[in-house]
Amino acid sequence: MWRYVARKLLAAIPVLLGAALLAFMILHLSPGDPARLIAGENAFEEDVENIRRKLGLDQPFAVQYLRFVASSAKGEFGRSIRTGRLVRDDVGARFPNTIELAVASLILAVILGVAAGIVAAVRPNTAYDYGATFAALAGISTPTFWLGLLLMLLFSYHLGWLPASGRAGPPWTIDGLRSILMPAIALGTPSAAIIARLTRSSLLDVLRQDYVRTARAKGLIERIVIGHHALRNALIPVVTVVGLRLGALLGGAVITEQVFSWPGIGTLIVTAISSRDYPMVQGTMMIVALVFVLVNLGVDLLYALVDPRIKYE
Amino acid sequence: MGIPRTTMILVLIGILVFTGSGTSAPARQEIVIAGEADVVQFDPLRIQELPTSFVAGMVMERLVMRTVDGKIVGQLAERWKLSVDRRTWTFSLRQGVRFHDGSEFDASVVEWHLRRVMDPREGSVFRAQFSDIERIQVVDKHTIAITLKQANVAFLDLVLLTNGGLIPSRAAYDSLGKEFAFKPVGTGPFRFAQWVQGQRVVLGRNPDWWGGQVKPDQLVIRPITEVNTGIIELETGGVHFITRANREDLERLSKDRRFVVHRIPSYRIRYITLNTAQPPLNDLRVRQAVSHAINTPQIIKALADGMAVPMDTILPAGSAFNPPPGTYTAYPFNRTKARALLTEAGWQPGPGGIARKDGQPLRLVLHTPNGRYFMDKEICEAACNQLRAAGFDCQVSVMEWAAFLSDVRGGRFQAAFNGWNQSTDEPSLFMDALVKTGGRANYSKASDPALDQLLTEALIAFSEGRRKLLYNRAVDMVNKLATIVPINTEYKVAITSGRLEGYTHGAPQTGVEFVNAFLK
Amino acid sequence: MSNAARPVPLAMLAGSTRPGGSAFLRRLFRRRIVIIGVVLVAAFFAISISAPVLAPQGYDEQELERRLKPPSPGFLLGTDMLGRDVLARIIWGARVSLMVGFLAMFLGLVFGSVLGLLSGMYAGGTDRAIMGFMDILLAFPGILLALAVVAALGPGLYQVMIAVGINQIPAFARLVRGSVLSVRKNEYIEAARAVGASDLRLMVRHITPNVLAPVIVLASLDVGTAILASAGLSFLGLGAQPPIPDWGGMINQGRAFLRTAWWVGVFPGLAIMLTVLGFNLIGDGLRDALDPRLRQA
Repeated sequence: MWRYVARKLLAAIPVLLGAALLAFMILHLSPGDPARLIAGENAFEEDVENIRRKLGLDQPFAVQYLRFVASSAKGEFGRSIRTGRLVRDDVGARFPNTIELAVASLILAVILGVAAGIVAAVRPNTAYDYGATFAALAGISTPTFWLGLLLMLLFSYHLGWLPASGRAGPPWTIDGLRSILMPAIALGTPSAAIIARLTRSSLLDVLRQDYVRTARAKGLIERIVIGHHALRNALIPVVTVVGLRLGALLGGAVITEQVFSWPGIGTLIVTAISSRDYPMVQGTMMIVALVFVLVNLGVDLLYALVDPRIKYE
Repeated sequence: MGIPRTTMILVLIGILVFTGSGTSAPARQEIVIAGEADVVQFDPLRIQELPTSFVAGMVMERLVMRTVDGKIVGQLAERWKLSVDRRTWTFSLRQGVRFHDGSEFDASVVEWHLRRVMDPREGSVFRAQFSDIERIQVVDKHTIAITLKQANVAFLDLVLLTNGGLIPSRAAYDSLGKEFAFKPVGTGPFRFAQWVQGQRVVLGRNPDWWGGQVKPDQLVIRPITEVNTGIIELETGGVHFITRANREDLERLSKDRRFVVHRIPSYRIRYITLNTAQPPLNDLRVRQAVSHAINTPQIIKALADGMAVPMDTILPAGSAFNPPPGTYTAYPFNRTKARALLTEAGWQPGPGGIARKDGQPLRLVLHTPNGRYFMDKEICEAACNQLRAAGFDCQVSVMEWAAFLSDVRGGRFQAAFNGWNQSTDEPSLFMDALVKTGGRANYSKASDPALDQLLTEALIAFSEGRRKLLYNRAVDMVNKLATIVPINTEYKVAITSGRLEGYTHGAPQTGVEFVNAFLK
Repeated sequence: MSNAARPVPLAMLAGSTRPGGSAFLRRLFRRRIVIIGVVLVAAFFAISISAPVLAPQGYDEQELERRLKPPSPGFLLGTDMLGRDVLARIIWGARVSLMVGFLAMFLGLVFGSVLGLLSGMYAGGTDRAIMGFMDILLAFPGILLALAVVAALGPGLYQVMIAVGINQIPAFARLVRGSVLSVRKNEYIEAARAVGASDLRLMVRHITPNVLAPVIVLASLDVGTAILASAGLSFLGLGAQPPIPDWGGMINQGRAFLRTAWWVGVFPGLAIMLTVLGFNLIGDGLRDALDPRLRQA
């Protein structure tokens, strides 16, 4: 299995470099001058020129990219043009918050999604099923930022129950938990819906299997049949999707963070793109891509864990 | 079925528990301020955006400062005098002042700082301004003399009152290395305590501040980029201080006794630049038609009442250097006149009300950033709509800020919604940059030798009366060129919780606003 | 959020036999909520086609004096901050949303399918290169890639379509490639090859019909995804140029007035939700109807 992990990790390296190169190329094609953006519209041209030199922006693109790659190999991922700090440090200060938000959304999504999926599957083609399916589809169809705005209006402004924005602390404190709740709901809703639908179809599938029929035939009550026999197997594909959702959530967090002023990498990267902070965008992309790869690998391994039929060489 | 039901009940209980419990009131005086974005870095040589300037101005100080009513008074300098040839400024520094790290503030630190701003290797964004300085001389421990290459009335404004004038601790620079830019050490009323990226900057009280007692124990600055979120935070008690609100909320909050709206004119002007290098705007009559076609007072009243005030000259509304009303060329809203001017310029009314010449419609593209300035995009939408009614085939082109700046600076535009922010109303800060030939923000590429000469003269005119006269004439000349359509001057606005007392609104560039503030 | 509607079991559908027309339709419409989806989508299509007749006004008829008026008989959904009729803008905006959704999906479909076919047909270098590129695209969270592309191209309707469309390419490419690979193993393909059928002929004659069903499902879901993604870009201020009414942009402008004039931001959000819901209901129904394993459900 370790060999499998090593092979996957090695295969990820070209993807990471490619991701950084793609980010680098797109950004260099974009109009705008990072030195001018740092100096501000009030600055004199000679100062802008000076900054350009100091930051190495006067060097050929290839040199800039290779410098970045060398710095990434050291684990530093370059130095931000805008803040002057190592990209590793800037991302390191914020990425844990994004992961925290993504994981919280995922937990909410799994709880709600699996529950709704079971309700729908146990009584297929009834009002319960249609209701759950419809709710799930509505969940996928709602723009998360719009949902976030409405939640904020309701729970913060009108009811005064939850803080409107920011991160008040780690999620194991009451304040921290209160502050993460709304962004997690907004971000997690589409995932909850997807998990609900998957749970439904997967459970329906399992319930038709022979061993479930046997269990029923033995006269076991429905709750035990579903709880102990069917659910366990039905959740295997759900596990995969949960892992894959984590990746989608990291992306979705960009907009949710914007709405709730959540201190994650979303705001960081939006600013980095708009200020043409090349190293910051490349570095963040590489780090995010790296996390993607690791998450996918984790999902692969987890899959093997829950489904003993799968083995990795 | 049992499992999810239990889980759901647990979740519901959880929600009730968290939402029910409020935060306990802090015993210490902690004032929470909504910043418009996260701070970037604190090396004064490279601070140019508002959120960082705001925080830096509370931690670090300059030699001089502007008061609320616009006077220049000493901050770290107690007094100063100007030599007979008007080139050497000699500052007597405040004695016994210490930086937050305990090191002493004296003439050698000032000298070190000024030389650092001027050092090309340091990558300062203020170096060009500071290069007016010819010589720096430490007279004694508490006296420093700065000699300029040539006399300049506006030296204090142009140089010392920039962010480059903020003086950090030299000891901190020597000991902190790369961290210097992220842990500011100054002499101000508040000392830097903590910066959690994207979450908050915490400033503590400086018990040894030379200016006297500082009331708040702590200032917490939280970056809240969305205007809307800031208002909800203020109304729900999450913050005590915000700086932005749209007109409707502003009206609502100013009627609500739980909040106080503070408002003074600022020196941030917004205007539409007309590029004279591009047809059809190379024709003066077409430019005049544009000016007459836009109903600025109506647009600003509708979209930004309370946040901005309309203006009709290139200097900030309310500036002492503006000529008295009625004594200068202006372009009040007059659609008929706009159409007449177009006809005079050869643009005949065509189908759909759009003017045509040689079969070509009168195209006009108005570039604007989105959210960079208050209601920028919306103001342009309204302006474009009115331009269309006057016969222009007007299109708004919303651009990302980076691309906008690059196109505008490169002259790749017809008309653009621009802003120019200064912290004082010193007229040369506006005129020399925006309309002088080759000015660094003269995007219209207009050139008027008579105007240039007038502006150069004004810079060395040391009599206040003479300066006013010269700038009054300059304002009129600029309006005659019609290369700039003045739109509005933004107010400096603060909306505070009614619990916040002792806050003094106004003084540009200083941290003294919060020195006496406390929460009831 | 741009990946919101990516269904997982789709790959399993590859190679499923083509359903016969009327039986398929019967299966499709047996779930009543599919009908709701069809009705929703048809309604928005009708609205967008008949906008010039249906809309009470043009989409840029400003009247600053009547700004932010609440819903009333004169303005059923109120007016926005420039005094424009919100209902009129939503009706005209249906055109914009549907166009962005379809064109972005189409872009992803065309490029994705071609790349997927090539990748599936030619194992080895071509396959590795194409799939490697798809991996890179997938490694970016969708919205970030779109943001970067819009930064390069500038804001605007077509730019948004391209940015969103690029995001849809990998899903189609992977799906088509998977289908091609599974079909290729079938004996009749080997047989066709043995009698000397060319690669192109093989693709067109045998493989395309077999991958059609899952591609159609993905495409129908993708329109919704694309509408949502473009709304997200508009929300970040990078959508259509004014005065073109685009729903995401309307929410963006309306959010500043949520407490004082909720109608400006709430109604466009509802419009997005209903449209995307329509496409998702149809896509969901299509999938159920096409998936042999769930037919008894």
